[in-house]
Amino acid sequence: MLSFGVLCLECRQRIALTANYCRHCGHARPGSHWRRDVRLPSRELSAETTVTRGQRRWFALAAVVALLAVGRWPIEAITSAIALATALYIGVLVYRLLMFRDALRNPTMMRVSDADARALSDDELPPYTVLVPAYREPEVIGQLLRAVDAIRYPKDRLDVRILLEADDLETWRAAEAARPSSNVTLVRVPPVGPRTKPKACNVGLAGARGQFVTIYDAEDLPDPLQLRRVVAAFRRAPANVACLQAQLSYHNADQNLLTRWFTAEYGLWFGQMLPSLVIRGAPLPLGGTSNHFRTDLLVAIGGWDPYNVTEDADLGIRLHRLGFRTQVLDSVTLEEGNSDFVNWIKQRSRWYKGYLQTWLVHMRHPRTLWRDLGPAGFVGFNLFVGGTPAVVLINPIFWTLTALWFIGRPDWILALFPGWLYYLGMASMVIGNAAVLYISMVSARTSGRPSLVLAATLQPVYWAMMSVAAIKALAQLLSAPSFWEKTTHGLDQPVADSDDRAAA
Amino acid sequence: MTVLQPRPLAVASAPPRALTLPSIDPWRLLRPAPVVLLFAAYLAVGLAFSLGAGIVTGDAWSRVGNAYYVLFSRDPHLAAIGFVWNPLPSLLELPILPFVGLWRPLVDHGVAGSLMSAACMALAVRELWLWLRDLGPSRPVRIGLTAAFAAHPLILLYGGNGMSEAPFLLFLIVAGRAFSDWVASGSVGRLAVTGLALALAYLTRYEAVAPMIAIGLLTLMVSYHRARGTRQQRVIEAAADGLIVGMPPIGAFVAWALASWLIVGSPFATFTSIYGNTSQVALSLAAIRSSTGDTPVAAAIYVGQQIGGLEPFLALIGVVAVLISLLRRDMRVLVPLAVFGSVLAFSTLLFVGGSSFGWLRFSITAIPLAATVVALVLSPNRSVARWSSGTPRLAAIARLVPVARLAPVFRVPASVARRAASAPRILVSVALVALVLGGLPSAANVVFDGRLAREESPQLRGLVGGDRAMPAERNEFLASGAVARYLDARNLPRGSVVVDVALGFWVVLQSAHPEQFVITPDRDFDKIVEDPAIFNVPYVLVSPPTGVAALNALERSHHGMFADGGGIATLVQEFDDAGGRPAWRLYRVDE
Repeated sequence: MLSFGVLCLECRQRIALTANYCRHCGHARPGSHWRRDVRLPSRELSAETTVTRGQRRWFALAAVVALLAVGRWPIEAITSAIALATALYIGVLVYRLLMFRDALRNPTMMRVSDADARALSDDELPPYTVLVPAYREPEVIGQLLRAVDAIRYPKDRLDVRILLEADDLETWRAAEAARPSSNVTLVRVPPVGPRTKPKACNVGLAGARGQFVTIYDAEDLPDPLQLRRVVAAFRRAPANVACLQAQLSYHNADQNLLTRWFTAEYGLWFGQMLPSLVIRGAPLPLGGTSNHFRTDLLVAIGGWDPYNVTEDADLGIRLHRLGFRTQVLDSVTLEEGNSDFVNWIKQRSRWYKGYLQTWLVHMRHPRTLWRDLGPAGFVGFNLFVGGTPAVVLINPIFWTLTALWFIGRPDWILALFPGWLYYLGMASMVIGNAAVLYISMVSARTSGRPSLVLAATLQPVYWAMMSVAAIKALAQLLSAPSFWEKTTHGLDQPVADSDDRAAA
Repeated sequence: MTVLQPRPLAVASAPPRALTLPSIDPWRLLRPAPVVLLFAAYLAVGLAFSLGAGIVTGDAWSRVGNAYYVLFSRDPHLAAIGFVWNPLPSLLELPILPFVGLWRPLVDHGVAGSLMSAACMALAVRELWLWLRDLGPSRPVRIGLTAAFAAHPLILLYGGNGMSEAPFLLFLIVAGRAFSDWVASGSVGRLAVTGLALALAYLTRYEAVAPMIAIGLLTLMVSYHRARGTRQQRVIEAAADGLIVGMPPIGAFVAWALASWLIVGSPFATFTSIYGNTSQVALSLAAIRSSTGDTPVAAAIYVGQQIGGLEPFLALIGVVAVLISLLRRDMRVLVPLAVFGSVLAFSTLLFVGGSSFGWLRFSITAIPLAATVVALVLSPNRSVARWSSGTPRLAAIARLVPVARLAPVFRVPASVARRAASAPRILVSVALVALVLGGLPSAANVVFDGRLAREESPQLRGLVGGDRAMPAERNEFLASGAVARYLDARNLPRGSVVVDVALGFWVVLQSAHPEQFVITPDRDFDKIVEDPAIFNVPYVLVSPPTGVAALNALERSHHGMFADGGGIATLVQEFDDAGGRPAWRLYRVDE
């Protein structure tokens, strides 16, 4: 199997990322002293190329067929396209409704009580590595170190690695100035290859000493007992569980309407949707942080794909394909919810771009994917990972058509929608949107934060924002697929001097 | 090509299992049997009227017609479902109609309606059974109460005749059960089900606004009472719960009003349409008043007599329930009152106010009300909490009745629970169930009463008495059947006869060629009615403009249409009913 490589700066030949020197020209790589050979995902499973040659041929063929069809039989062709889009829409919708109903009836999550978590003696707690990738975040380093200190885990077994890019001098200085304790290591990530979080995490993984490894973002506030819960849960879990995903939520939920929507959405995602995917045996797209892995299994799986901007989602699919499983853990990590519209659009467009990347990567060999995931998993993957950006892209088209129809009743719309399609489309749009809105409200109510229910009623505006982000994502997928649009943090602080921190 | 690594871990796999046959539990196969039997029973009642005696309830048949026009009329389109009455009963019948080619009575005897109402009523009985089981009285009590509902004469009638009362009761009982579960457990999913069931109930009959409001208020109250925290937090929690239960029905209300406004130009066609309730009642006011009395007091007495006929001991049961609930500080009794009692109150108010026909079926919710209230009174104690005050005498009375199940508002004396003797309890259970069952003979009597059951008694007499006691429905059925056969025999081309199906559905639904008619839901109906000659529609079919029939579009457009052709047509054929009076006239339009 090919291991992923980078180009040697001297001779431009490909060498392994983990190599200490170039075997072609002998040029030594500065600052490299890896202790573990991390075999990263092969090119077949990496988003290094967004579309393979095979996929490009398929897309070209589809484009040619579509153009011919539209040229020869325009009305029928566009009607078929609309019918297909409606079918996809209904499929995604019905799947979500079923998942929600499952989750309400059968809320399964791995639960470790506080007492059980505290009862673990120090001997029973293995070494644990916590990776914290940070980039241009000098103002949150202090908070980060405090949050790390608050974690209830014996310091001699807690290996905290803060991953800093080599050129990020200000964060480095801030970290050193904050006087981290002895179990905190500042790791220098070399400035080669794609400048992304997953690449940094792989570098951190290579040097990880712990039996378990997890990622936290620099501004995260994890549940102090989370690591203990993970240890206890892994003991109970079957041998093929490679990952435990904790719940993510926001501490600034009530800051403004956007954070309320965001918190309600996360509540639905982690509280109902992910556990439901576990029940259905479908692969779980992991959350951005608080995914706890068994280090040996994570290395076997191949770590994170450095080219994928939602490396967590990709890893979740990959580990499922390889026969491992993820469970959801009932423990909460509080993050900072994006409270600024532009910042939110950037973050969300990165997520959609990553989902599209992930879908393209894993659909390179659909038959193999079907074999790996099974029918339930295959359907779940397509409807969830592919369906999420797809539906959000389709929505504005149909809303625009509906608006045009009610305003002007132009004849061409009448021609495009034969009777049955019109009623089907109208029903799915009205019932679909109403159902998704209602699900968000019910989920917000079960989350124990009733103030979110009122915000949830205004969700259609949120959906419009999602569509904007999805269009941006599609554009960026074509132009700069591995570009990581950095989310600005610290916007929940009253004095936001971080506003002028431009995205990378 | 190996794309992926081989699996590194030997995952523990189960040893191969020996082949075994799946075990079949015979009782599981029988589980749907009660619902199927009930369905068959209600359908049999319905078919006895329609196929056996040729008596088809007009309103029910009209709902079948609405669905039929969507698929088989000259201008098939979904909006033909009609906006005067709420659409769900017709929508439920829509999937049955494509089979009309296999069995014509589905439409020409309204059997599609009977199928729909029988299925809904059987499911309603099942749902009531499940609700009683949730409440917890003993098995014999549950059997007695469910039988009192399922075998009630009015339920039997409306299970079979295709009217919208059956789906309405179904959705109300579903909502009531889910709501009572929410009051007991606080589970949000159950509150969501309540909201959805209320939305469906609204789409079935507009009277559902009464329970929508009542349940909404009750949700706010219970939620506020249960919430913890500051006043503002409690208000937010109550508002959140109110939104959960209120969104679906309000959404259904707005969506239906919007659709109605977009398509027919009026959001509340039930009240504003010329064919709507308001208009019909206004026309028939004199006839209504003659049976029911002139003054509001007389009207109230009339309704009281109707309810008293259906459930003679309802008042007594109600008083006992309220007293016991006050003793126990148990507010669960408000749930059936909100669900069923609100509908009773609403229809009574409308009738006393002069905007309702006052049919007996408007009080149908009295029947499940009695059953659920008795079940609440008789549900046993599952947990015990302290009572803060109470006199020995009250405690003695409360001891007679098995005490209630847990809810946060309950407070019950521990001593009472411990010493709840079984003998008095059984006596009280038997007495209350007997009160409910004892209503059945009285109900059987009232449905034959010509004054109180103005719709049902003629039909029943017609069923029992044959053609000697011919009800209006049979008369119409026979007369319009003759018209339909006459027109079918003429082999007319598409769109030859214009008829207003608000009144003329009797004919159209018995015809084998529905596309020969130009009917009210057709999108060009109004233009054709104005001037049939220009649109080359040769024939006009009208009935005598008495009472509600005066709303006939043709009569309104061309005054005197029935009498002499309204100046635009000449008489071709007259059809008399069984009494020799002219029922239909076919006119040929002058060039």
